[in-house]
Amino acid sequence: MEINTFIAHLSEEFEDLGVFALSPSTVLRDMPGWNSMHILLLVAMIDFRYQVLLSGEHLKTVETVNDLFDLVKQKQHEH
Amino acid sequence: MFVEKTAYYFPERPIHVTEACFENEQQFALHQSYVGTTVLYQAACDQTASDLAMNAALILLRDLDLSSIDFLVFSSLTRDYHAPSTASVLHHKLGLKASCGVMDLPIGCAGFPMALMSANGLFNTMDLNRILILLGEVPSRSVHPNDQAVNFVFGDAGAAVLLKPSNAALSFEFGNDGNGFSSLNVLRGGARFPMDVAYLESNAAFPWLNQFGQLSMDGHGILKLTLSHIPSAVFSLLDKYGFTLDQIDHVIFHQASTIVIDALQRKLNIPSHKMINYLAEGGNTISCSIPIAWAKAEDNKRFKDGDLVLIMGFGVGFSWCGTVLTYRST
Repeated sequence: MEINTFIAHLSEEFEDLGVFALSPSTVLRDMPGWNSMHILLLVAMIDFRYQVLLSGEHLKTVETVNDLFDLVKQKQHEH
Repeated sequence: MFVEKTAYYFPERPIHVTEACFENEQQFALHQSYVGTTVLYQAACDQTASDLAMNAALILLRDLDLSSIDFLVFSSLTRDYHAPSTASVLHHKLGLKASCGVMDLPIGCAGFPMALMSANGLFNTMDLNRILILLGEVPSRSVHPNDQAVNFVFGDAGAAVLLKPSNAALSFEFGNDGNGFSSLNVLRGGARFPMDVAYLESNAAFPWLNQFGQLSMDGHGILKLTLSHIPSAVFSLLDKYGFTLDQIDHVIFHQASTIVIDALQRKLNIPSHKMINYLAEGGNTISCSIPIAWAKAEDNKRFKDGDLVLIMGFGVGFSWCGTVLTYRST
């Protein structure tokens, strides 16, 4: 699993929100217009694409796109 | 068993979901894309869940011989009284015969399929003519105006469904995950947390919260429960019938929010033309949502005689129940 693919999937999810130019160091909650709805979009996308269902507990530790990528990779290995 | 007729009723007070309801344009756009509701209805202060159900029943039962109704099931999370059952009150108001039985199902978003399952059991064990399912919900009474998670999501409504027996054998898929307790609840007003002076005083400015207590929802938690249980429940249900999803003509999920319905559609790979989503008008009406969606799909001529309609209710609990019904035009 490549971070570039992961970022492409994230961008696809957020494109209609006018959020673009995501990078590994993008801090999720600093994205323009970020709110709780984006968490739901993320969770649904990650479940669909990566078969990992993230809980609120898991996401507490996530700050950046790269943190999220690492978390998904780690959860995939736990499966 | 088959659905003979449906009707629904929205209270007369519409709340239009506009940009003015949100902090900024983007928040509004997000709400429109992912909750999907443009108008909600709110019951008047003196209207209860049974009043809304009664109005739907009056539309449904016009010109019907009431003596043919042998059982009444009432589904609601916001019943009129602790006792007697609200079904009993509705039975009396409608003037149903004394030999018509009554039962309340305070279940929530899975309430309609559970009511169908109860009705199916009754039809299978007794020689009954018709069963009436009434549904009424006033979730607006539990919504705190400052809680972003539940504002402009839930709406009040009533619905009514008339069932008749048939030779078609129905199967149901149901289940429960008690871990859902913390994701969606109304804790006040029951035995564990009675209304106390502190609670009543803290909501002095929002007196409607003193009827049932305040609704608390963790949207992420509910989405996670939905995605972990509902796709497998849909496949188990299809297995019971020996169907594949390809054979199903329409899918009506509980109208929770567009984000939840879309996530299920994507995970199950259901073509868009099979999906029924009528969230725009009325929003999430708890147990009324599936019968309202059914009635609107029928009004919009989406169903053909013999179509297979998969319905799946899920939510508070976390509980779920679903079945596949064959549509009959009457």
